[in-house]
Amino acid sequence: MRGMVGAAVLCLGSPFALAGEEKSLEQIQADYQEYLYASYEGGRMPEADRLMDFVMAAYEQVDAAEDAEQAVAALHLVMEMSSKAEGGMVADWQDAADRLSNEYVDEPSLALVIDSLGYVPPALEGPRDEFLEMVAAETTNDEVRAAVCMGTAKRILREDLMGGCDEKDAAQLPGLLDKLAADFGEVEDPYGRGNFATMASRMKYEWENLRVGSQVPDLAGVDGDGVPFKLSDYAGKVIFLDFWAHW
Amino acid sequence: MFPHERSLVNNLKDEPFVLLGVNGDSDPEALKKMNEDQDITWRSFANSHDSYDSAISQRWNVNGWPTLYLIDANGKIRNRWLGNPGDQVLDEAIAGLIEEAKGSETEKAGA
Repeated sequence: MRGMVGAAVLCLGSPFALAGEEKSLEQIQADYQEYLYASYEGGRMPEADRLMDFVMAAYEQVDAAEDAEQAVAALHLVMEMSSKAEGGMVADWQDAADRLSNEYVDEPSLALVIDSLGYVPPALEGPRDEFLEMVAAETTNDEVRAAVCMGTAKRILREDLMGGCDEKDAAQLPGLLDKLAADFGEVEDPYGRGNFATMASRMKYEWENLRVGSQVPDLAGVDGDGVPFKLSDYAGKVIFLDFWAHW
Repeated sequence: MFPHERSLVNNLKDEPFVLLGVNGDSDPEALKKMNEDQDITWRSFANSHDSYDSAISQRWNVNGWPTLYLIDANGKIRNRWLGNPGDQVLDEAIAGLIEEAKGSETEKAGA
């Protein structure tokens, strides 16, 4: 019966626990993800009222947290949720960011929060940049400092890929990549993409060889029949190159 | 994206244009099966058949799929997109570069 009650609550989509049945942060996150996917699949933006319910439930978990890592995870969820409303729920996002930079600036798991800030809605770009500056200035934790540096470099590359980054960012990127390799090279990416020295060298390759206006570097490999070929086999033609996969 | 790419390949078969892929599935065998199942007639590199580190997508720092590059007839990168920008944007960008390529061929022929 308990399972059925849980299912009924899920259908109603309420993020709040039934009386006496406290929901874990993981459960709130799962309910929220389910709501988010259902909205997008139905071609709708998630509704601000519903997101606010989720934000409040996540906020309760900040105060209920047993340690700093749990509190950071709950605040991370608040930021994630409040960035999903149309235009972004700026005040809630800012509030969570302020708590992170005031209370948890030396907590290593803050690196995961920073890693997720590469894309935010336009209304949150200013607050995001201020948050990162504040964290960089205040933290004494090397993993967090490394994450700020990596996060900023990834954001600039992403903006360049999405249509061009601004001149100030373009000017600071080479220095950031050098710093990543020199100061934080041994730091491991939390998602297993290699250490920061490896990642910085890939990012540098992209910046120096693959921006709009660059002469394309050659590619060599094999096709589905195992036959070797090169990009330069098609020199003289317009080439549309699609990085694709079935997933 | 496949149906539009299929029509690009058909419609532009007599033009100085080629569609090439880098397939992120695991190996050439998986790519061969995908090509057959999905009726993919254009050529793709198997992204990674030696090791994770030698993968083309790693070297090109590709972090999202699809990532698209449009290269002109002189080998210069002219556009790139993270995610499909839509058929119309692609068609116009490709058509513009084909016109450029044919224009410079005519110049050479006339010179």
